[in-house]
Amino acid sequence: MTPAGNTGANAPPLLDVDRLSAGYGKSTVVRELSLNVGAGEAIALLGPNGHGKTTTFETVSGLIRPTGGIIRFDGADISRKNPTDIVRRGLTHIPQGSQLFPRLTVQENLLLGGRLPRAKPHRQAALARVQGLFPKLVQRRDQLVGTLSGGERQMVAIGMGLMAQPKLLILDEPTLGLTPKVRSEILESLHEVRASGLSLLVADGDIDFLFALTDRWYLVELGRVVGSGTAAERPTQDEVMAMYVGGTVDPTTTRGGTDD
Amino acid sequence: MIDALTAIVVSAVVLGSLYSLLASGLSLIWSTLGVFNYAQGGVLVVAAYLIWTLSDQVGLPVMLAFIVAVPITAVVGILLELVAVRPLLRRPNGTLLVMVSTLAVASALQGALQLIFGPSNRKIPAISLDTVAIGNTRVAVTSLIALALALVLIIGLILLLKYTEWGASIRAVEQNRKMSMLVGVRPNRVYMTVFAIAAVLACAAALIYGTTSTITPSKGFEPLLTAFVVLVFGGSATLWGTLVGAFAIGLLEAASSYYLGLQWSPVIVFLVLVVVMLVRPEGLVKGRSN
Amino acid sequence: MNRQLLRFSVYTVLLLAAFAVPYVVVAGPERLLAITALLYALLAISWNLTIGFGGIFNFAHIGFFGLGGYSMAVASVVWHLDPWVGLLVGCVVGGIAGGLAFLPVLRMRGIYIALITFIFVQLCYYMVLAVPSLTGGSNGLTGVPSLSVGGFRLSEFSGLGYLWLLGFAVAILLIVLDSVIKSSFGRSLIALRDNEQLATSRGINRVRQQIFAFVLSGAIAGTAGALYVSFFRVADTTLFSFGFVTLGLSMIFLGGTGYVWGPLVGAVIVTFIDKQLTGLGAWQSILIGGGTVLVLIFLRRGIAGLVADAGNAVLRLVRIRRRSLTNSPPMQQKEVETNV
Repeated sequence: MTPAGNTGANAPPLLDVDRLSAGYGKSTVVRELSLNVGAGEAIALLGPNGHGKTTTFETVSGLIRPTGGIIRFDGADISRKNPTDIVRRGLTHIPQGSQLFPRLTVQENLLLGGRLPRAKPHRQAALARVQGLFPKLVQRRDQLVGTLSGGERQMVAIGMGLMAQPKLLILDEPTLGLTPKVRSEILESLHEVRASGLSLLVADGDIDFLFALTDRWYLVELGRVVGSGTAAERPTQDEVMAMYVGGTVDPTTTRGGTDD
Repeated sequence: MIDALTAIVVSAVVLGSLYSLLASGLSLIWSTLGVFNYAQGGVLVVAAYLIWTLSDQVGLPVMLAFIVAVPITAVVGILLELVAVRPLLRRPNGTLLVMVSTLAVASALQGALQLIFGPSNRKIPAISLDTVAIGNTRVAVTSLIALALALVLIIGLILLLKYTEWGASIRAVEQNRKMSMLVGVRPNRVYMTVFAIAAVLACAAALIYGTTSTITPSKGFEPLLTAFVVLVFGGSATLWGTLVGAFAIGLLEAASSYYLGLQWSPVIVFLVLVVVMLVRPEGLVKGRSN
Repeated sequence: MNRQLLRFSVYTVLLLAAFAVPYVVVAGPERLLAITALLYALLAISWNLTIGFGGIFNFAHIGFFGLGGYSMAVASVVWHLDPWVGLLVGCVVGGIAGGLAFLPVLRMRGIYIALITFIFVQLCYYMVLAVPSLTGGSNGLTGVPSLSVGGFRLSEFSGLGYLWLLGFAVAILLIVLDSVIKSSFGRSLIALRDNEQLATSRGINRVRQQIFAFVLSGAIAGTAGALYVSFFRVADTTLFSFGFVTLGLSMIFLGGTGYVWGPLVGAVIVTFIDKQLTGLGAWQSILIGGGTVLVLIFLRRGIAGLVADAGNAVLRLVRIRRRSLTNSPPMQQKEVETNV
């Protein structure tokens, strides 16, 4: 197990991924990957595309079954649980590419985010909060999500994730394809949510965004963690580029691709 | 002239109601699971025999027999999903496997019904023998009941999909299965629900079919085929399109039956279908494409 | 082992087997069974080209079969042409029908072909009924003459001639299709099945390849239909019946869609089972329908798949004996997506 973050001497991490292995069909993409997220922490996952970050997220949230290792969340073993069970426990995954329900309105999308018993009683309050974080969405309330701009769609996606009242929010490439202005809006909103105790696990191509948001980082290469550190020990942009280029995939040409 | 027109319109109303109920179930299954359920006609015939048994053998009044048959048919739909669809849908090539499997089930259902009820014609007694005066002509009440049933159920379904939580789950799975799982929807439950809904609609179609035509075990395929035509004709994008398409086909069939005879009307319908497919493949009714 | 050598030896064995069949199958009832099985094999093997290798939702195949059969009947009974000409007509009509059945899907998404082809068979049925002067309407056409070579009627000796003809037809079909599948056409068809987007982005023309598959399989089905009618001497609307559809599909999936010879195995087994069930009336449909579902669920790669696996296991054992190196078996990944 990798060293836990600064969450108090003996507090177990909120999310503990222990030697996880997973893949699609016959190919193994994630090989004995270990990381953890403490309660209240924000963790960054760095690494070239195609090296297992998305697969890791999908395994943690239950979309894919792991072939080895254990995933513990909030004390329980969730390695083989359904996505529904996992969301119920407070782990919400916002996948890459603004995954939404295109022919439903903004409002309907957000409400779906809060459909589980855990979140339902507080739905209206949560909705108000999301609208406070992303004021742009208020006037778009009854608009079909498929007609929104890229930035607005991503806001809806994040809003949906927040509606589930998560303890841990996993974000896969939240700034993908977004303008710098929108990125900073999202950064600000995420800071605000973090202040209320939400933990984050984020993978993104925008290094500045990542390190402005997170406390610790892991570097993933070829399905394994090959480095980690605190925000203070953050690698420089050049070092990151070197890590990426040193890997098998050059992120500048493949950014925007999927991780499988 | 007016008499001919009335006869055609009444016939079109009955046919349209029948087809819209059957096609809506197919449309729902198609949009949520991405497959065509070849056993839908079989479910219709099973429901028809159920209603017949309850009314003719057990002695219930027809409407009551129908109401009792509805939940039983829903269970049949759920069993169909569990046995023929769920084990195959998520496999590579699953769409083809499910369609072949439902086709096989349709064949087995036909055999089973043959075994239980024999091949002779059955007919469900009419709900009512009354007629009603509309303008100068008399129209059978059963035709109006058929229309009411179809409109109530289908519009009810549209409203259910749009305004209830259940409906939201179904639309979520339909539009983005992966994301629906991440908000806590269980796609398997939705699939089961969809099949149950389609079965209930088929049961209503069976009521109309069984009271206006004779029932035999092999009769499942004719209405199913026309329902397929409706799907292509009306565009399977929205249920409104299916509704309009069904009545359009009903009208076409009624008119061609009247003027050209019963054996030519299927050919006319198919020919029109081919023309539509070549000219405007997305269907005649405007709507988003799936 | 030299691949080419292996292939040619298999082909030779196949042809020899076709020659030998009538010597092994001697009695009348057995010959009837064998001929029926071979006719179904032609139907199923050709169907597998579109539905199995092509992954196309083709439910029109019976239509091609039936039209081919009616062509033979019309040509020989109504127009008094030589039955061999009737056979050719059946082939051509089948091919044309194949092309026509695919046409409507040109501008639509591939899934709609599932509906269109299903409707197509019904259309054939109604068309046949609509011209009773030509087709005999609901009574069908009887008295179709047997094929003959020189003065020898193939139907003599409980169909000895047909047995030979069909045996060779199946053998040649398998050989031809084996080559077709391995050709660039075959591989492009499979590529379209596995990932249409990827295949079209690589320049494979979906419409062109799929329509060709339809025409080819239609022509073979038409020939099979013509032979069927020629042997059984009758053409009627049961050729388009739903029972044939289920029977054909059961053969393809029981045998195995991944192998050219899979449907042959399926045809033999199902014909045999079907014969055993003839006395049971309605139970036939129940057992065949139910059996098909079970086969789909539990026998994913069909019997051909099982046989191929067994064959591979034997080959591996032989290789292990020959060298001392062992190939470590590929890591078995569990079925990864969770069932929710």
